[in-house]
Amino acid sequence: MKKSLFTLALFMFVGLYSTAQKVEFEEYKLDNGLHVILHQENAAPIVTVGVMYQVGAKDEVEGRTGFAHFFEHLLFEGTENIERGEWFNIVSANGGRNNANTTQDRTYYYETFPSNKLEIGLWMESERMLHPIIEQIGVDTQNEVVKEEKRQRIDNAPYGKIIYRTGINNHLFKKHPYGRSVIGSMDDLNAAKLDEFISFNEQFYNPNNATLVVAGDIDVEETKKMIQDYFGPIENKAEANVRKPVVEDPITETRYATEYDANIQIPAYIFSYITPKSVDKDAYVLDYISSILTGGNSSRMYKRMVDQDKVALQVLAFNQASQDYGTYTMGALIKGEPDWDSLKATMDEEIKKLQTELISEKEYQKLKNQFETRFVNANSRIEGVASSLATYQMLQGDASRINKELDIYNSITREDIMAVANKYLNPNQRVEIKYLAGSEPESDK
Amino acid sequence: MKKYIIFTLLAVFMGATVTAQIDRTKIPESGPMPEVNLGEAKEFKLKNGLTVLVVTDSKLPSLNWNLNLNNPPVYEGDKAGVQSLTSALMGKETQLTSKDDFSEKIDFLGASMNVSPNGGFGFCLSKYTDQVFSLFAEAALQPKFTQEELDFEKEQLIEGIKSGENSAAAIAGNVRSALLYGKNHAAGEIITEETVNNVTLEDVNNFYKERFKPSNGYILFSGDITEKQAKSLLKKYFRDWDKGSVETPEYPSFEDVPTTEINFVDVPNAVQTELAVMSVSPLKMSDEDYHAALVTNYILGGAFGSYLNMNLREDKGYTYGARSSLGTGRYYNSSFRATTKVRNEITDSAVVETLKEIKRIRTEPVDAEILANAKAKFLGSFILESEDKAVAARRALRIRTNNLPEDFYKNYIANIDKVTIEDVQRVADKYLADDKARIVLVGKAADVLENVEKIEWNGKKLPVKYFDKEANPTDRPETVVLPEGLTAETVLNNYLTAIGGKEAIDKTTSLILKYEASAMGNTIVSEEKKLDGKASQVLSMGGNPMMTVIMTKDKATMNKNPLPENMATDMSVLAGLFPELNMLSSDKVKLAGIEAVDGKDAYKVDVSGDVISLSFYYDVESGLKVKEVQTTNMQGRTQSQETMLKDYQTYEGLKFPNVRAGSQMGQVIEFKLIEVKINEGVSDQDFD
Repeated sequence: MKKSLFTLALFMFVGLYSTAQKVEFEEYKLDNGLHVILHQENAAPIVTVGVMYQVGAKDEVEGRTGFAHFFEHLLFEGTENIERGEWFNIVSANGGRNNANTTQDRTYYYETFPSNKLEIGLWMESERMLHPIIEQIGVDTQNEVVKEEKRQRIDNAPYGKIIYRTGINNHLFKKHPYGRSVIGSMDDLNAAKLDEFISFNEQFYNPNNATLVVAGDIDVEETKKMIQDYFGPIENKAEANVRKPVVEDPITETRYATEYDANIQIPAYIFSYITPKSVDKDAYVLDYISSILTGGNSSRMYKRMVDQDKVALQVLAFNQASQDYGTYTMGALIKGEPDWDSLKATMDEEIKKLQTELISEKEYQKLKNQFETRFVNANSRIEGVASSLATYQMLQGDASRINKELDIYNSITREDIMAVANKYLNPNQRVEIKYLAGSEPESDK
Repeated sequence: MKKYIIFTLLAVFMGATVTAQIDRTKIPESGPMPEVNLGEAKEFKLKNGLTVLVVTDSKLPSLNWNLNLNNPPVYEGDKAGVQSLTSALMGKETQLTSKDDFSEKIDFLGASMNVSPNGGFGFCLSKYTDQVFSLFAEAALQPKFTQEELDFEKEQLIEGIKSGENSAAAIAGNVRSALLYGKNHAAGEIITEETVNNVTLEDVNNFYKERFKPSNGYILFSGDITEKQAKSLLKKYFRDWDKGSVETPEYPSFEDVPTTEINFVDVPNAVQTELAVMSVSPLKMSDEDYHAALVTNYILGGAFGSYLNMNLREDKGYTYGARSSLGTGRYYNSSFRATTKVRNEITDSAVVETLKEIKRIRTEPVDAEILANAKAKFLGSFILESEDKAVAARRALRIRTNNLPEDFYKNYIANIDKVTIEDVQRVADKYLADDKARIVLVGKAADVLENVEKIEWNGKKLPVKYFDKEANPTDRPETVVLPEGLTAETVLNNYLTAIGGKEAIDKTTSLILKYEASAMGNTIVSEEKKLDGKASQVLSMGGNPMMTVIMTKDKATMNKNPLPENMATDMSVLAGLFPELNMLSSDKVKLAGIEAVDGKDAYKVDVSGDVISLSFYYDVESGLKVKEVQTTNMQGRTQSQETMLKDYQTYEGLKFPNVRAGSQMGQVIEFKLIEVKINEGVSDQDFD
């Protein structure tokens, strides 16, 4: 009785969503095509300058995997006015921090400074766009660094092939470049010549192929003037990157795979599916499904497999939606001797339940509460807001989606959840991966 | 609004027509330093002694709290794991609410929380504050521990330990602290399957009761909450929490090694070596040196542009990153650590480069610009941190738990600014060590150990000690992977087959091999004569004999003078037609591994000796001997002589190398085979 009262009390909150912070911003284009997004937030005296380029691992040509990420490293080597090795020193000597990251779809660079250093940030990013210096010495050094990054992140890291998906996406995507890994192959990188890097720069690192975001404690008009000064004169060396759509044939027969990881002792059973692209509402529904299955100790798979049956040490489910496709991955770290068939049966039962029964009203409300909390959290830091604005604009075509996310989640019905589970999560649409401890047997290589 | 639009248009228009007046060649000027507005933490104390700090920031409709009981670290001993098991059990079920209901309630509210015997935290939307805080208090003050859940958590913990058994990073995490603090120390002990199994339900109950006490503790609230709300929450939910505190135990002492040494842990699957150079840090936050120490560590390894990273990553490309940390202690000393992950092949070089940078900051004055930049970074970070309003509460807490003056953070930047070039060097010398450092390497012995054992620092070879994954001393790990079942005997027999086979060798009764080389304008001739059980070598220069060595089974002479007995014994293996025939019956012969000789794998066979040790290398593919190394160890001095054997050619059914190349007095000298005589011209008198 106590329990139901509690539940009832909570239902009173339905519809009373605290208005999560709306992110105000302004956007425009420079004559050279550079897309600019400004977000003013004067709560703390800090500012983030970020540039997102519409080039990622999926733009790599055959035989040059890892090129985009490698190139990201190269663009810290220096510019005509920033000496080699000085990039990081300038940032820290001005009290800032910086980084960059590369995904399949885009490459993003940013600096965060005390707000009186805004102009330095704009200068640095415009230097990078205008005239980076790409030399053999930088290629050689970064080649070694990237090899270490790969070893550290993937080869030496427990479950690295799951976390970085190098042991999953290769089984899902046979045509689309998402099947290749972002960090790529060292052989490919070793083979790349200096002039390839130079032409990569000319092809992709142009204002018409980039979004500049400035967020934080700024004066909008002054910022606009500085942006014009630093970025306005940069000329394009090529057309903006237009990508030909690559259509991946849907998986219609279950695929089976085995992956090995010498860094682990506990095997995992992983199911992964191809799902819709990030802009699709169904991608949001899959976030809900992940949460139903593994979000918190009261989630379905956790309760069933970890708590009750004690067949899993941990369960996982995550939805990762990219520009062209998404992937949905679920699985378990296996406790004790793996009984693959029974694990499969259990996970299938949980999916079947989603496909055949509507989730309860209470579970539905729980989801909404969880996503509201997540959303309030998401835009609490300037650095995060900057990156989200650029991502929404470049990869989903509309920066204002930053404020629509919660509405989209809220519009999802219980029926949507059932429909999406039926549409994407059938056994014949997935790859089943036995992720084993140890090294790959020689004969399989 | 209209004005605004016109201005925007104007700006765009102007941009298109006017050339910007900027100078790209210089770093732009910074604007005036912005003001940092950090809310003050409101502070009050509960009757039970718990100190409350509240920072209100209503920008977002959420809040978090952090309960820190300020407990001294505990040594768990043969029950290591009791702390983590108690943590795992807390927050699962309570005296009032079943496990399923409890997790359901928290998840339903979209909240997250965690409770442990040392405190806990919570996060939720502010509209659920009351419900979530009440659940937090319930989990904290009325936990329920059951055997069933304990058994479950023990299993999970043991599986977790197992899951890290092959991970170089997990192993490094354990052994670094165990070796520095000692396994008998709270900070150094390692949780194992055995110690986890020792933990009983009673242990868990007691552990909770003894440690969950408020009187030395703090609770920090930050976010969408006022002081008044915090007060009423605590009054409502923490009312029944009686005072009490945990006594600080005696901690065992620990100190640096007297001279720098290497501690090696073998992880055969590792593709990178986990490298740490460590020493004891007596630094405290309240020390006068604290600010200088922060700056010093920043310059050495606190940032991308630091000495360590610029050398190991940017210059050498050994690693994705190299950093250092200089810890401060409250109950006992902390540690200095320079750490990185490097690829196997250059592990030895990475150790040396790391030591070099530590030595550099201790012995060379830091560049004025580097120091100025470091200070600027501290200022910048101080400003950037202000975005997180909880920082005010955290700073207030740090002041209290470290006995710092109230104005510690007010003067923070001024104190950083005061640090001089001399301070950096002085503090580096005081707190960092390259001469009494413990270097912990966790990596693949087969790939890295042989070179690691050759590392020299400050003119001395560094001693290497070996440990297992739980930091217990162990034997030197095997560094080579030989084909299963392969023995020295097989390698030697393969060699004898390769040079001609049993039949050809059996027919041989004597040998003369004459080699000629030219060096320093002279012709040098080496003539070897061999009979069964006897061998001699005469070196002549310009036709004059310079040195004559004669070896038989029981004695050896040089220029007719007898050599010491132990040396003669060592050399007896060479006394004969083919040393390999003697080696087949010697118990001093060992197959030592596989090494590359001129880029090709060769089996290494060692012949150990008192004074003279030999290593012969036999090509894996052809079976032929490709290299000889003779190491002489006399009166504490070791000298090695390497000879490469090349271009085998057949003489009357037997193969001999046409070239023997070795270095003499810093010069490579190639001896060419000019004469081979088989079964003629040798008599017993040649060996008198």
